[in-house]
Amino acid sequence: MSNKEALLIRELRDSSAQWIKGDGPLNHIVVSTRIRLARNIEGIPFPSKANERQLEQVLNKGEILIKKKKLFNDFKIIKIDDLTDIEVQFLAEKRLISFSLAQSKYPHRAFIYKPDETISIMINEEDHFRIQCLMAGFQLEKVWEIINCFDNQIMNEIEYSFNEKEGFLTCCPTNVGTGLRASVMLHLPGLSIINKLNDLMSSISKMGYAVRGFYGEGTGFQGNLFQISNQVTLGLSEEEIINKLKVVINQLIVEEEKAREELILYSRQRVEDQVMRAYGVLINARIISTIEAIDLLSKIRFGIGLGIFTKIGYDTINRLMLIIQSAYIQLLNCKIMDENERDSTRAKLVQGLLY
Amino acid sequence: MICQICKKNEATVIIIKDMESNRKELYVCSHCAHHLLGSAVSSFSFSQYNINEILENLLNPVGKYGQGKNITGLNERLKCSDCGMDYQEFTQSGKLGCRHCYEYFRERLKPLLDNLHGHSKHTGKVPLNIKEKCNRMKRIKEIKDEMEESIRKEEYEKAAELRDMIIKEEKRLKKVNNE
Ligand SMILES: [Zn+2]
Ligand SMILES: [Zn+2]
Repeated sequence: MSNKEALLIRELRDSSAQWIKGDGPLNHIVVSTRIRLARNIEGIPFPSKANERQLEQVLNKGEILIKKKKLFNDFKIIKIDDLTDIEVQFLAEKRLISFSLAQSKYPHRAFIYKPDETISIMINEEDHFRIQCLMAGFQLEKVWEIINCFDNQIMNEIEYSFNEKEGFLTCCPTNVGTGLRASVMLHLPGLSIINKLNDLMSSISKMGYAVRGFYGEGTGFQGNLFQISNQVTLGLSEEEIINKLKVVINQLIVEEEKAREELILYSRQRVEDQVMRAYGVLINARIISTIEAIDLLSKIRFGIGLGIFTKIGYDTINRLMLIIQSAYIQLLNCKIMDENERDSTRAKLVQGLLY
Repeated sequence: MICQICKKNEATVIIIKDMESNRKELYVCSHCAHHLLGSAVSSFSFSQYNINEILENLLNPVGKYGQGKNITGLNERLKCSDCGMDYQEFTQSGKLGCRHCYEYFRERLKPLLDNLHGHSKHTGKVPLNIKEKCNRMKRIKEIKDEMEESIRKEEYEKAAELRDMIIKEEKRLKKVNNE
């Protein structure tokens, strides 16, 4: 591994993304807002059919972009092939790259990012470029404004694959058209306690929205954290997609607020008990698994939202939610660890930040 | 024979207009033939051209952007001849191989897109250069229609003028493409 890459990984290990501050609008329920755009470069087959030389060409375009464009002045680039498996997994755990970029076998994968980690571009994922903007709280319009501006700047330099009928052409027809996927991360412990979550989530799925857990596809719903995203990308304008999603999310926020009010009104002591017990376990445990830690941290987060718990803020909770993951823990301790070692290190890590 | 357009030069080219089984022959000089048909007229010798074919060849660059490529019969194995992606392969992986796959597989993709998105036509953002390209293409298509109309009405002088306009517009389109 090159020194440059090692240095960048170390920086990312210690830095906090903008969204981790947790200070965005409606932050008591919405953790973060993300929009990504899928784009391919005209004249080069999608990664699924591109040869090694063509994938290298895509990477070169990305490198030229950040050298040439003022907007990308302070951006950094990391090439996935130069990293160890744990470092790649760490990037995915930190939500900087997708698990599919981490696991794919394409050569010349890379990602370009702004040091505050709000804007990044994955290179040679399923599409040539996956541009992403991620910010704290509920702010779809702001995130769209930022990413749209970046997209326009890139379009001045690079011609995208586009046609009038299907719009921005993507490797998978599920993304074609706008190539836009907006997702909002929600914390819904209130609805979970009053048992309304399942009904709400299934009706949201039926409306054509995808519901995923915090830690990505197929990892289940841990800590009452849910990512809701649009599935329709074609036939609606970007603004329409965003507005429709906004309506759905607002509905969920209203329901969660109602649930919280009800809980505080009728079972305040019970809720407080749950929050403080979670704190008790977290600061006393000697061994803790990722799943248990997430579950307990979720309760603390709920306590912060209700004003019951004031020892720490959302920034600490968000950071903890990330660094307790397996690759992140190993990177923080600069060594490979087995599960037992990770579980005891995790317990210490949590205590260090909660005290 | 005298050219039927300029009525001055010797006619050296026959243009056969074959519309609705109403075959008509047009005798023109090489100068007028060039004027009307552009570089599609390759020979100065006495030769025959089928107007429909020429129009098709002539306006192919427009067709390439504006319309889908020909799809082979649905019974044959569908394949994108640009990247080699097989339709069968696509149904298994869910991944297309290149931008042309959307054209080769368009007829099959349409119900799929309708199903996935409830729509099959993009209405969102359009890249600026493409917006300009589309406008130019629309303009070319309009002039082309007008030219065909004037040929149908046997207004060859007007058709020649329109042909010049198409050449001009195509040059502009090329400039947009190269930018
Ligand atoms: Zn003549
Ligand atoms: Zn193809």
